[in-house]
Amino acid sequence: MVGTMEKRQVIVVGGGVAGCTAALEAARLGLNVALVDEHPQTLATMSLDTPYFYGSGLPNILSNRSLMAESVFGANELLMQCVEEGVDVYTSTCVWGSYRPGDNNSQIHSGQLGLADEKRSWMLEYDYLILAPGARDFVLSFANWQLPGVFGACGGSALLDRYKAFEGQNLFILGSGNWGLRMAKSALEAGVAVLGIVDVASQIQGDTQLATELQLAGVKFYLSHTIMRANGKLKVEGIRLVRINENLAPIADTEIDYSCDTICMAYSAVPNTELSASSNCKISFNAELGGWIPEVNQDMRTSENEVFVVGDGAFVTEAMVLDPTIATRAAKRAVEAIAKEQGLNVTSTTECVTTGSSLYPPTAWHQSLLNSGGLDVLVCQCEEVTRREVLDLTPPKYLLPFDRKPNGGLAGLSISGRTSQDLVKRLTRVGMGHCQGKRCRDQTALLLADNASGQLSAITPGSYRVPIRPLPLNVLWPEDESEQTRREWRTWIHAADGIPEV
Amino acid sequence: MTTADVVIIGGGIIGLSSGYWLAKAGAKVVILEKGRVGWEASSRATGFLSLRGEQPLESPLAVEAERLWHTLDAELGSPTEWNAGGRLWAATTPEEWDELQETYKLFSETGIPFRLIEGKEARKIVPCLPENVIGGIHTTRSGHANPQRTTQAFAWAFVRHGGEILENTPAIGIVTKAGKVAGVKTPDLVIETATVVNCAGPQVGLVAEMVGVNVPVAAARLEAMVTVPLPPLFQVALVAHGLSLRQTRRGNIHFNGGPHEWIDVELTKSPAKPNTPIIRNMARRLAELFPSLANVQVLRSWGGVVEMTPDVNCIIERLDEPDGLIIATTSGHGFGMAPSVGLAISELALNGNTNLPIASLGLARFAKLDPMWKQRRNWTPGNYNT
Repeated sequence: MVGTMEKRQVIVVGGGVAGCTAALEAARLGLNVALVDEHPQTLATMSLDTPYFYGSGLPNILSNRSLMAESVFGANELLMQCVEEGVDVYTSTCVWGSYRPGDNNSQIHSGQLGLADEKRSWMLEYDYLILAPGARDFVLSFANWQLPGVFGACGGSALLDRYKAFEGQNLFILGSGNWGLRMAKSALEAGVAVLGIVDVASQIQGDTQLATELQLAGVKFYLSHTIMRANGKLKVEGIRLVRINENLAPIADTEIDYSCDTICMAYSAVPNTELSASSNCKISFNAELGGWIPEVNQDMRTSENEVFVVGDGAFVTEAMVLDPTIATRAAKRAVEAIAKEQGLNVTSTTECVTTGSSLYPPTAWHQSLLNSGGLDVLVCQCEEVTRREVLDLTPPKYLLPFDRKPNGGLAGLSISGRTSQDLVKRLTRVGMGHCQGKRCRDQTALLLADNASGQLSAITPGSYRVPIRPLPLNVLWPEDESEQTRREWRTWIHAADGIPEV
Repeated sequence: MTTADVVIIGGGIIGLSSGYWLAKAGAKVVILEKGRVGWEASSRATGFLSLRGEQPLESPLAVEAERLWHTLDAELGSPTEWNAGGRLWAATTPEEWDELQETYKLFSETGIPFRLIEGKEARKIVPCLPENVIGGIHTTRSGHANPQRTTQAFAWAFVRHGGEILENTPAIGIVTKAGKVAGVKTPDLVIETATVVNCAGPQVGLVAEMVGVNVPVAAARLEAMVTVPLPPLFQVALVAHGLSLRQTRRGNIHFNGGPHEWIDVELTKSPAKPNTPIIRNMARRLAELFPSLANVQVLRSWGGVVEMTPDVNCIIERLDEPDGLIIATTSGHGFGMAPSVGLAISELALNGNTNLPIASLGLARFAKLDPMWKQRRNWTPGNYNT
């Protein structure tokens, strides 16, 4: 259906440490390689909380494209090296779709990606695909979490370290795992005051040495605490914390309000699997490594022979947050496997780690937030769906009140229905909106798991739909639509063809 | 050993509607679904009720469906988002306009008030249509609804009336005794029954084959998309510029159209429904049709599989051989017709006959069908309807 299509031997998606390493290795081995990265993003895309939870308080400076390009490229030495060493680098370019040969798909003969920048989209074919899409924020809601000043650790780190566009001055971090500790360190280095790191656990969850370093720098840890709400009307002005008991329930009269202008959610992170799922890669549940993740072998090869996943997009562990060599070794290993298959002389074999442990799923946080915040807290910001409305399967807000009667709740669905994120989405619209479920899918899965056996593995996670980044019609459309496509277009079988003869 | 008055093979909207009317009448009904209820075409459809003006053979049954749609929310006890907003076919090229005028001759046979209108009037009905709209066919009758909510509404109402749904349970055999239906086999059990409804959608032919009955259908994979929600723009179900589209109650523009791929299906497995880069061409069509909305973002695309009969009309018949077997396929437009098709099937199951207008929708019309009809038309797997 498309006129012409370019092809690369290897396409790498993602310009972080893993992706850049893979692209550099591939270029050094003489492979024809392209690297695609969506940063620096437009303010419009970032405001959809894509790919990270940036929150609603994005600073205006992000609309200064040249300044942002300077910051983002300046912060990414490896990416600059890719450009110097002959990698075909596409920045500010998102991958919105991945199409692979498969059943009932006679038009797709080889793997191809859908790419788009601000103005247009195009398709790019490949022999091998290396996905390095990184991780995204696992977010759990609390009262007022939609206020400007609330964001996720991945989003916060991006604004701080890459875009240099972090406006917060006084920060509270929710989660003492390595995502939280790393965020705190970055913030201190950027001159942001870290007022406290909160955790529902009674002990610090992350790296001891880093935690000690932070404590010496004056950072306070609020252990056995949870957040009750963000304070403020138009933006975050403070945080209300409460002590919790061993059952994760708030202890009466222990609420304290603190002033702050930003709250960072660092409960846990999960691999970005939209592209591996869209590429037909087999996804399975692995709680140690971040939930629903693509199955990979020792070469980081997925169930699709030509598709590899490296870095945080493959799985997340606490160790990986602080040790980038886990990702770089995986990237090298994947490229070696490709090079060998291409008959290139590869002498070494890099050992890579495919095990570890993560803070996924943050069930203790989830329980404490349910206990302290109750059921009338928004889960889905796009479609304004609360926890209660998810559990009651309440029809959506755009219907008239008498049409919004709960219909037996989750219990009124079959077993496969009440554990299906897609069915619950269809009926309540949780996850139907413009963030494409990034802000709500993890909490919704936990709510459905609570209602079922308590096990997340019993849930059928929501499907990912192309385009995985919302795109304007006049960007997604093909500029090079063929005459044949236009001529042979049919509305429906009966319309243009008339009634076929029997 | 389990027994039922009626076993329905296929938990799509036709099976659920049939089951609903049967259970409401007091019958003991089991629906067998190879996967999940309403998970295939029923919930992936555009959501139109077509009055079948272009195929007057089944227009009377569609009119019966329309009558039922008007009170369906109250009947089922859940919102279907039915919008009786009428329908408009709009022509943007002289060729399309010629075709529409030709088609209109068929429309006018139905007795339903379809009107040929000029472009100016079309743009009053759908203000975002471009200047180059030449004319169209309009009716204030028919409408559209939310397929996901409607399908689930039927499922809830069916269960509330005592119906039983067995998910992940394919029918793998139909038991007959002395030329009569006696039961249905699943991988785990046999359900004794004297009446079986085969409304297995794209698998309807494979299920019928189990008792040596030939139901000619071909399966096709189609693609659909939605935009982000927009303020209310138009109420009609619209067919224009190679797309079928409607604005949902929430405000999204839901659209489909374009090349569809003929595929093979299996009896017990859900067919693959991949999307393809054709969604880009669909996006282009929508932007060309509504130039003022070209900047609107697309949120999702998905695929679905429907079956088509050789003349694209429904097949609904209670067979004599084997006695007790009812065949029903709605040829890719079952969503809107589900209320009356289900009611007709329930009457066929309970009484052996119905007063609903299905007499011309039997298998007999295919008696002289060339066995190679799919090959002759290139309706074979891997080919597109181009």
